[in-house]
Amino acid sequence: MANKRALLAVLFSACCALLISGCETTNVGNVMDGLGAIQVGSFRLSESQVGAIKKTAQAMDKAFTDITPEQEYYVGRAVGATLLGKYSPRTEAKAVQYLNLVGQSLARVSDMPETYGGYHFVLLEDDAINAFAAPGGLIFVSRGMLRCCQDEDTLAAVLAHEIAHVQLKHGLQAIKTSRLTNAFSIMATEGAKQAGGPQLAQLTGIFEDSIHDVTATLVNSGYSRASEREADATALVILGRAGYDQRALAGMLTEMKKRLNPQGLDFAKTHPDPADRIVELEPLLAEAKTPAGKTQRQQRFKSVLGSI
Amino acid sequence: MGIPRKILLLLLFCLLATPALAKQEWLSVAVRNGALRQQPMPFGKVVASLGYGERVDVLAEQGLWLKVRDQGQGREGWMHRASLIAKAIVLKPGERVRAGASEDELALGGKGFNAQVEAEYKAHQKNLDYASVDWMERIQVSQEAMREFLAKGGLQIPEGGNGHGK
Repeated sequence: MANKRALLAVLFSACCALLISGCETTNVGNVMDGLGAIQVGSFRLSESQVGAIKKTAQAMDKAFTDITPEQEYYVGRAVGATLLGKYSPRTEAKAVQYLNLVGQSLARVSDMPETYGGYHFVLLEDDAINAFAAPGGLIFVSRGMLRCCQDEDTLAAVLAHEIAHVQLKHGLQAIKTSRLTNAFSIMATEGAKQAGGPQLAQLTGIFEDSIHDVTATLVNSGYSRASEREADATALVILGRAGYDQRALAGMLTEMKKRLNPQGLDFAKTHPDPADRIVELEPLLAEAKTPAGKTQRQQRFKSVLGSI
Repeated sequence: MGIPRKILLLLLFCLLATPALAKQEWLSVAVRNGALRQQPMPFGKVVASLGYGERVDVLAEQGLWLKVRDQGQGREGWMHRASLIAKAIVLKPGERVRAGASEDELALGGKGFNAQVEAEYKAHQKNLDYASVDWMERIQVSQEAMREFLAKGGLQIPEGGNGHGK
């Protein structure tokens, strides 16, 4: 009985350690690797008990943090391929270059300036008001969303919000934990080390379901209100660092509120009411400064994207 | 008796779990093209590009930036902390980077959702446009274009930046 309680305590502590530790800094699995058995006073956990705890801790660890940057990249590509199968990208060189310059100037000052495959931004030929961020940094903005942007700073606000979703891994979090747990257990089998085989079919099935989880969230259900709030707050930080007007986010939302059809299948469906988002932003904007250069930026915005 | 034990164990685990980064002698590059910069700044001059899985030794740190030396060629520069990971990355299945590498480390290498899974997925799905994704990934902005864009728009000063992250 006492043994069982202590075992639970260890498990609890392991979980705490996992929660406390950042995903890139700590690895309880490795830390525990060297332990073998644990002796505390008269109490001893055998090697197999430690092993069992380690497995549980690792399963949790994996589900939350062990999607490697490379795997996130492949998830992002598939989500991107799904979106681009639905909407055509605008390929006009000048617009592409401009959008990516704005995007890069934001991503570079963020807390995650680089991703495995890098940040890439594209305009979609779609009149609905939409913007999507696929895991790993592929970011999509619809023509309808662009029309909510009066200048470069408001466009930057849209992109900063999407960059925030990438960094906060909101897309990946839409994947059901059970899928990842299954994927990791397949990966752990010996067979998975060789190419092909039944494991590949199984993994592909899980991959397909995972992509569905992410795209369904992006296109239909939307993220939680808390995630959107978090992305808005992060966007303000990014805008401020880059030298853009932080108030542009509220400005963009005001314009969106005017244009959004509340019954629409776009942002109206997947995001909180812009008016509510503005209210939540207000305290964060109390000390926002008006940065220089806004007129020059507006001019180049008009000359490149004004006619779209 | 049960309670002190729990506390003891909690302490033990906290102690074991926290100093992992400090103890780790090297880090792996977690991105495909990791910019090694002359200064610890977002737009600092890029002196080299390090690939996914390359190992670097940490020489110094400043806020979110780490001064590193790559183990392969000894190049030195600053990398953003978010582009590095405290785990071994094994690029090819079956390849072992060092004796005693754990399964946990190996799990990072090329397994799971990879190019092979993508090919399989692509073959069985309709309405996917991977060609456009490939096109999108090829979009690059040059250092010069970036510099000019920032300067003309009154944004961050290219070389300086605000060195945020302190």
